[in-house]
Amino acid sequence: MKQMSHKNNNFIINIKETQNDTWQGSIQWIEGKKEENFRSALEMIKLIDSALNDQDPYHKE
Amino acid sequence: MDKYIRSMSFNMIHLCIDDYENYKIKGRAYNNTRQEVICFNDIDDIFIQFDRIFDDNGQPQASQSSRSFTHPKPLGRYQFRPETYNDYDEFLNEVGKKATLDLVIKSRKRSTWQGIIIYNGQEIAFDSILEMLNYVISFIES
Repeated sequence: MKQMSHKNNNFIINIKETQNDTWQGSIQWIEGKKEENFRSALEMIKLIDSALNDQDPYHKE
Repeated sequence: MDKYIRSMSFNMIHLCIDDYENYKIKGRAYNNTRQEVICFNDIDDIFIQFDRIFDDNGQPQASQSSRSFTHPKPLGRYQFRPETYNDYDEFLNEVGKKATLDLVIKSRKRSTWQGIIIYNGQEIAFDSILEMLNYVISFIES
């Protein structure tokens, strides 16, 4: 599996609800100065991944 | 399991867990819409990789577009039967060192997965990846 090296990335996660056996809330990407809401733990993971892939020069969608 | 293999094998994941330490799950995954073995160093890798595979396959189609910090990807076009490269039964010979199980992803509603875990002959329904992950960890730790 490809290993990516990143600068430090920091996130603040606010879990506001736990409906449908998962989490809902907001996530703040500190270095990117952006905040997004998420409707599930999966969406939260994908948001983090989108931030990390933005740092990777070899992975541009 | 046969009924799922006959009707929706393209939405199934054969999961071979080879290592587990401090909630870090490593192993291999097999899906018959991909020719290559999908290796993962942690379980979140499986969720990300397979969510992309399901997006590309158009099955199971997500009910919502996922949010992104960078480039949101539009929902893929629905396909009734994505192209497959293997018989799912061939994967059943692959065994994980810690645990082996099969996932049937029936739907992707509410930005998460719903489906069935098949483990040791049991079928267990789940409504989210968190619920599925709790079951997987309980199987490994038992």
